[in-house]
Amino acid sequence: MNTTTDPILLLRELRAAVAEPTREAELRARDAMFASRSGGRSRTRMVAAFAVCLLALVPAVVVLSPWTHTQSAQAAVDQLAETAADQPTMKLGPRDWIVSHYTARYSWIQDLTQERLDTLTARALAVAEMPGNDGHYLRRNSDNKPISDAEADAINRKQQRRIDRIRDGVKLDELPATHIEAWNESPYTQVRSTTGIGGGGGGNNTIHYGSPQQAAAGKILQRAGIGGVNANPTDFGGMEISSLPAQAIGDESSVEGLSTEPDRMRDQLAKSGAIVGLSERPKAGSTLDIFGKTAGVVFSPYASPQQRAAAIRLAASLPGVEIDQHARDSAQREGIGMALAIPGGSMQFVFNEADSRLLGMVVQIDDVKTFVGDSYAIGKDHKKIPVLPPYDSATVAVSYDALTISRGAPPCKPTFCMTGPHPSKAELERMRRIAGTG
Amino acid sequence: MFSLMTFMQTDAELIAQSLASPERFGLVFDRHFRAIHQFAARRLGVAQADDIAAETFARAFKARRKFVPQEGSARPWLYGIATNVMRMHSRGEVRRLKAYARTGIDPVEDFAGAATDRASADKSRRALLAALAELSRRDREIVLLAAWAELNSVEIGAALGMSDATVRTRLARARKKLSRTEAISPAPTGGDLAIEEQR
Repeated sequence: MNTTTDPILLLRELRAAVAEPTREAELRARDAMFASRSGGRSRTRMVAAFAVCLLALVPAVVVLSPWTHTQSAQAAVDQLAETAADQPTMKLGPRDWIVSHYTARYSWIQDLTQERLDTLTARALAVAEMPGNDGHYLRRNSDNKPISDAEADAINRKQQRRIDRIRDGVKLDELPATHIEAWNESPYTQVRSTTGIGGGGGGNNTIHYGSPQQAAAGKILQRAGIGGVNANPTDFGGMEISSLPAQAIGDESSVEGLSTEPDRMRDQLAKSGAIVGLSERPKAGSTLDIFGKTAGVVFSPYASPQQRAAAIRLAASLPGVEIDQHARDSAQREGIGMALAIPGGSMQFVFNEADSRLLGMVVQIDDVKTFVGDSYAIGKDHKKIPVLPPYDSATVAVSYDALTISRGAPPCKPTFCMTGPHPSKAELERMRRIAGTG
Repeated sequence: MFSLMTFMQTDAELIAQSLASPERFGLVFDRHFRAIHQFAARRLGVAQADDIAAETFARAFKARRKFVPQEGSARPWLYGIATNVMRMHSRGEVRRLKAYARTGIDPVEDFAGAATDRASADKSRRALLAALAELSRRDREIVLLAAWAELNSVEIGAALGMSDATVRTRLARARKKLSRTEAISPAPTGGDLAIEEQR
């Protein structure tokens, strides 16, 4: 029984009684919002939207006319699915931490110049290599001033107590409010290493956040280019977060109950929430929507081997999906590629033939205006990274290489985890100069 | 994976991108719609919350050029718009609060089909809601932004166009008024209660 007498806390208790918005209400609001946009849509966007609409019609066709591949392509898919079914499941306990790492590589194919490519690469490396990025607790709302070891120990103990509560089976809703307040009162954030690329980030970040509720609610820490804490541990790279429940493709609740029959899985995925992150959000149930979600299932540590296998078969069976048995990601690793046309370009997932792991994703979008925003390095010597001008009509290829997940302790030292050979000191200096940070 | 890069972007960055690519604002919508909807639902009921949340985002989308980044997050800005939208329902809200205090039945829970007798058994809560109804509209907005939106004083100031100091003063005053109700003893200081001031 609650004994608090604080009016704010008493009021807060009432909040839990409210029902969540319905999906219909959310979609209506979204439509109304975009309907209110001023000015006409560009031709490109209209074409893209039209393409999305066309894609949305395709699933009806597949029932009548299953997509077929060449015999060898189908054999490759079958092999991939069988391999997936043999892989062990990473079953996460309440105290496990997931760490995922990736390296984002950018190539500007159409407008590619070596100078631009160097600049992008250099920005990532220069930031990663900046001194002061490792192991520093930073004060919120102040300069990046490291704190003493004693303070750091105290924070760690506090953090451990929170984790212990979760381990002990305390439900998130039941955690006392002090957890939130501990976060709010805590002026510290630990940043182990940070890289920044382009519009908002990339690379490897380790953030210790204060409150499981904050993470579960998807509330994020906004600080100097760090996006923050995502409630979904499978959905992004480079952050160390706890295995908290969330509603997103690939998380525990989304894969729970998913059928191991591809057709049934397609129906289930069609009914689940639409994926986010694409500039043209695909209609729920469309081919693009399902295609994206299948990759989420393959990537999910919560999915069973049979679910992963079914997701691979389902992705390959979608209309328009092309199988490339000799696909390469931008790290030039060969794998089985599954590609689908998307508005204005194409999207390809590359799977490792040996263990069916998702190696990476390559998205190519033609004729779009790219955006490169502010980016900051975090640490003692934090600096704002110069903003690159946006490119018109560029083709962008983004590949997430070395997309791996692990449990427990971070798989590498709390420094930037390079997937390739570490650049020499001279090379780093050169890159820092290019990036304007040296 | 799809949100890998997008997630790393702040609201401010997404809103800046949305000037050239309006679809990017959809991601801001995805991040905050539920919170805004629930805030409105708690204040005015689910039925009205649908319209209020929709209106909030329609206004925000139209006014996105005016967004001034505050640590990159659009939360205070959106709550400020939502508060403006809800102002026309101020009288209804007061009536609702008073009815709740009188009957002990939470109209929001009723509407959501989850009525319980919890509220009716809690005298202190009913007294609190009665006191809340008596606050000035502005003070009530501040209290509810602190309690239900979990905004800190700086964020509330940004949402309502007030200084941090003014918000703190008003919040402290409102808190005292609310604590003076029959069944509520004065709020202790520090500890759990530090949230609004400390954030």
